[in-house]
Amino acid sequence: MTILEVNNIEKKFGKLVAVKDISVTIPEGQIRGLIGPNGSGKTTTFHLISGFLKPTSGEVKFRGARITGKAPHRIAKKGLVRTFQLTSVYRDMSVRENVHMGHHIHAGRTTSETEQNSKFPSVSSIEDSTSWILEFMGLSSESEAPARMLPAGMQRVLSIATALAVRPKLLMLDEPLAGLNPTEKSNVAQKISSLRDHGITILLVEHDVRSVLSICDQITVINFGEKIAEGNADEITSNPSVIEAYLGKAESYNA
Amino acid sequence: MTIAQFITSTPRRFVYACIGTAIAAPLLVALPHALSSYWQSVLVIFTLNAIMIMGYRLITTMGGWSFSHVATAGLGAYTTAILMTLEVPWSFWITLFLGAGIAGLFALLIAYPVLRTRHYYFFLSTFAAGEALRQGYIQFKGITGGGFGIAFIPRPEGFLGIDFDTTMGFYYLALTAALIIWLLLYRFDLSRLGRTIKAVAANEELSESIGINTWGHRTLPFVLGSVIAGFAGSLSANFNGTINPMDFGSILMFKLVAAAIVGGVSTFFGPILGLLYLTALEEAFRTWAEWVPLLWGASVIAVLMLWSGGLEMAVIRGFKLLKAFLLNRNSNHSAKTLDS
Amino acid sequence: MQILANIVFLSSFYLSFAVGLALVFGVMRTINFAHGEFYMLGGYALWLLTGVLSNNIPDGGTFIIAMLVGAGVVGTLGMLVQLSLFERLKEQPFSIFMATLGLSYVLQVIVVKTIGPMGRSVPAIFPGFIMFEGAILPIQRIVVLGFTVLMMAGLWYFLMRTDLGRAVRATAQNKTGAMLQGISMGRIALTTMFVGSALAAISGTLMGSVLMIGPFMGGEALWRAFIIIIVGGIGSLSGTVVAALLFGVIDTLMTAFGVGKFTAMVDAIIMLLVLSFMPSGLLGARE
Repeated sequence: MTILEVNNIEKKFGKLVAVKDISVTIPEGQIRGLIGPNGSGKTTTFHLISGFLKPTSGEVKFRGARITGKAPHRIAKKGLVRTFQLTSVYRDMSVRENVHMGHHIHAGRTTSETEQNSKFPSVSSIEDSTSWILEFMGLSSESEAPARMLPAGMQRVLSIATALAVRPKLLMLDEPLAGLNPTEKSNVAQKISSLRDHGITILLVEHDVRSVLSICDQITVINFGEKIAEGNADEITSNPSVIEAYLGKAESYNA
Repeated sequence: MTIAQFITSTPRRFVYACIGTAIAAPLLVALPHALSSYWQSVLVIFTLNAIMIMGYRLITTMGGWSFSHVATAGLGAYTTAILMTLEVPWSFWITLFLGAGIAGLFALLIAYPVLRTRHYYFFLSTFAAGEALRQGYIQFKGITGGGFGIAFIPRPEGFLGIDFDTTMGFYYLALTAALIIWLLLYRFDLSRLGRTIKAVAANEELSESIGINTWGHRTLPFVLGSVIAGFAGSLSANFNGTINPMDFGSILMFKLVAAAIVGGVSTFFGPILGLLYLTALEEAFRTWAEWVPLLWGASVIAVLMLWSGGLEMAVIRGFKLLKAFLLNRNSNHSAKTLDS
Repeated sequence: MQILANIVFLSSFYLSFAVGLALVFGVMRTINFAHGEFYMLGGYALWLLTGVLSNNIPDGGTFIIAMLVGAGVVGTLGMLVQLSLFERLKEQPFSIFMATLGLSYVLQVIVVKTIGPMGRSVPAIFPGFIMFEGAILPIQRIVVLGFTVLMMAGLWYFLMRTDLGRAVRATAQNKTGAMLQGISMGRIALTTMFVGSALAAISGTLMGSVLMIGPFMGGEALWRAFIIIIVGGIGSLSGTVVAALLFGVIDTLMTAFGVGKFTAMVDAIIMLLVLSFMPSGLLGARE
């Protein structure tokens, strides 16, 4: 079934049109990449879908229900959770406390009230769920360290772990690989792939085209606020408009 | 939640706090007997300021340093003053709660615009809102008595054999209020709600993205803190017997903010420590009263420049040192290093 | 006509007081709470120099000397504050605010202890008034207005036409970009604090010639400057001009219609409304 449906969203800041007309449909269980050159409107689109910005026109539907213009926390409660560029963790809390915090919406709920992902443990015991997520994401050894002490790659993993605590159906990752060294990148990329096996749909925005090509099932390319191409890795790399959009920038992705 | 759940979920620290309070309470009750009437007054005023600063600290937990706190306390004070000096005076208890409610309502009204701001914009906008409120106290002469304020505010009627017309009697009232508020607020601080509020202050974006209603979690402490201010204001009006707009001006506000900075706000008792320090300074320099704001200002600058963390940090480190020292004496090892 | 004149006088007062604060805020993203005290010191410069020089120099000369001396001394004071406080607390703009709050009280007490808490006034330097279209225009106020315009023109020239001024503007718009251009942030900070503080002092000297001078005159005016900056918008000097004009109009009209006692509340409500619907102010840049 379609988990996310974005229809003709537009975002204007005064006269500036950041996002002109974008429509995307994502089926459940997919890993979708959203790429485009700098300033193409990727992050704005991200904000529009997750509720951090309101579109000036168009609509967003999540699992069939309209979420356009709703407050981000309400959208998160429905199962759409996003992470942020530039790490977003609770810096002074421990790793464990961070993930514990992620369970916030589940407090006081019993199993039957939240739709459970059968591959994840029940949220009726937040302690157990926290331990499980830490283990799953490889953070157990650092669980008592303050988040700010972690290296960038692990902080990134932590922010994903915290998002998992919410039990998202759709996880939106905002440049999860930015600023990481190759080892860290491959570690995070691997974690992202394994999430799909746990029934979570992923939408990610990334600059690192190579990584996107290898992780994602389908890729949407945008430029100047519009979609210019969509397809799998082969289709995208052979698409002339995509090549043109990145013309002259290819070097930067080889690093 | 059920009573059973409430009890089992009670944090250990709160239990200690209750025990500590039970031990300290008789001492605090006995304290004024050892003091001259001047110092008893100082004690009462300190207690009322402590209530106000507990409310202020609550607001800082959501990340905002409000400058409208004292003016909002004035709403409680004027409510009590106006209603208790009518031809047919209202009951103290009703004005107390009504005043606190009005203070909270004011906070709720300005919450939408003011909570859209952060950091110094928040400071500036609450400053302006507070000042406008104070100007209201001055200008609406008919109701508030204008620059002259309101006088002849009576004390509440005594009960249980306590006469509130005496300073010592009123002290019991103030102390009881302070202890109740302290326990309630501390419990709140330790609760999940209290922790969520601090999480929102630590990282608003992240909190919003994991489903926390950040708006609500910022408005609630702001309104609650203002309600507490209203209580303090009301009680001050009764104690002083007169109020005028100058009472709710920037010097008291500065004292609260300075106490919070000098004492620190990470712990619950930090601001109260700061208040102790500033009050001690004020009393020590009674004869050179004009110098006091300078000393307060210098203290603030000193803390910010030299000793981040404030007095609360000094106390915490002191306890750690003490603990390490005491543990050390039982071993032959050389001095342990302290983990910070 | 009288109303128009009053609007002009009031707006120019608001502007002269607020502009230095807005400049420092726009460039350094911090509020100097002691701005009011710098203004106050400018007023006292006039009073002190009038006392000292009035027998030797014509009053007009004293006036100008007071402005220059005030600007120089207070500007230097601003630079000292930058070097001692702001540099130390660079990473915590909020602490800077608090520290300047402390400083404002320190300055107030110093003045109270050295000169005294009573308000002072300076005898009119340019006494008399002219009648124009039925309006009474005190000459002193016209002179003050003239100097205010001169001051704003000087500021405009500095920011637009000098290299240093352009560097200041660049920093306000894009700090990182400015640093990459090789602009020294230390120099910009010193310059901005000097100019902003000097402007406060000049404003104080000007207003000291028509208003009462007292140790608390800065604090009383400051909250309005805050409102003006918020409404005008962060980092926008033209916003400050517009907001000063707006409040000059509103406050004058309200006083003229006999509801002057509500000006503070109305001003604050306007600020709250602007914050509700346009949080970056009328002309402000997005943070």
